[in-house]
Amino acid sequence: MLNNILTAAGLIFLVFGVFVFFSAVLGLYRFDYVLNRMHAAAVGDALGIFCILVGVILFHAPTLSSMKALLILVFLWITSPVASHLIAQVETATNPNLKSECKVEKR
Amino acid sequence: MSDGREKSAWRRFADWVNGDSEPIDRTTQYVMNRRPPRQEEPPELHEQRERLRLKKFLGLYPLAAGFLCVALIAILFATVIYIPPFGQPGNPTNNEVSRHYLEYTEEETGATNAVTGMILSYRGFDTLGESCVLFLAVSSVMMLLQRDKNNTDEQTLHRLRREDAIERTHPDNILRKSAKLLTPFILLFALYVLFNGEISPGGGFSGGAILGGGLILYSSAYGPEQLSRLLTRSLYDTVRITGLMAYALTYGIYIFAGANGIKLEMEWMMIVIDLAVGLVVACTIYGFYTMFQRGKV
Repeated sequence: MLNNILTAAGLIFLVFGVFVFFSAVLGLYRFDYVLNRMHAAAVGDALGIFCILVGVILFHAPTLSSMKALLILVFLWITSPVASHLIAQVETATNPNLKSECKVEKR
Repeated sequence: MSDGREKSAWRRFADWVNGDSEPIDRTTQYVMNRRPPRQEEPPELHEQRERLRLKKFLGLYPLAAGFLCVALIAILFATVIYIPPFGQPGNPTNNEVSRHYLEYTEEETGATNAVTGMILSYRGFDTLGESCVLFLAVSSVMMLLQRDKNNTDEQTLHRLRREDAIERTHPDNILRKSAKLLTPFILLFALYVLFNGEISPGGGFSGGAILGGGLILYSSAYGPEQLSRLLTRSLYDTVRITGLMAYALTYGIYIFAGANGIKLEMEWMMIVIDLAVGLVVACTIYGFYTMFQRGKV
């Protein structure tokens, strides 16, 4: 019984994760500016990865491999925002016409 | 080289290779000089013809692309149909070779993991060749890209100094903190994969790649000088060469002992070979990164 519930929940998470990744890829192709596209890609990297790995964890709930999936999740959640941050920083540092693309806040 | 006009055969050959050679006889020279200059057609005509060509190409291109795709798909499907079904006992891959590997790997090579036993022992020469390829690749990249006072001008030095100064005064705190958090775990995991290769999936190549990745992360977060103070050029070369030498020596001993029927502690040799391959791979990856970025280790 518990196993069935876990499998159903994992399936829901997996399907939602696939949907998030689909929308991320769609955004990556539809948007035309670096920062917008990066936003779409980062949604897939954070929420999509979260949903898919939680689904995998629920499938193999009390085993060692599910703990390994949890470690993968932690690793990706630390690294992928840093990567997005670096891409955005390079864009803001190298694009001279940044003001025409988006609002720039002076600090 | 009698009076300066007569060149040596080697010199003429070198000129010919470089494309500097002059026409030998005077007739050729005369004909080349007398050739009428090329007729330039009017630009409108040229443009029109180019547009026509482009139109023809664009009409043909989707057709050719579609045909190519359909043909490739047909070939692949035809191949897939003839592939034997997955996991059947009567498949041609299920022959005595793989059975022998699976049954005798542990006692013949000392590795519990059959894949490691295969790449490091049964096919060790292949892996030795791969390590040599990596070693030579990073050596040639060093030859081409290493920065010294002969191939660096004042401008490049100035630019490099300015980049360093910017990096020093504007450290990226997010990157630094996350690199500080992650690098120890990445290096630890690399060591785990390296030393655990003979009893579980993993081994020299994957462990070395993770090790090199950790080094690259640290170097990009804290600046290349921070790491090159620890991993100097001489240490880098020592590690690289020692890895390859250790592999060659250990594998030589391995083959010699096996041919003469001497019993050895083979598990330890597996671990040494694994470590050697891992060091070579890590040095290659890190060397590529730092050579292309800075031109020095």
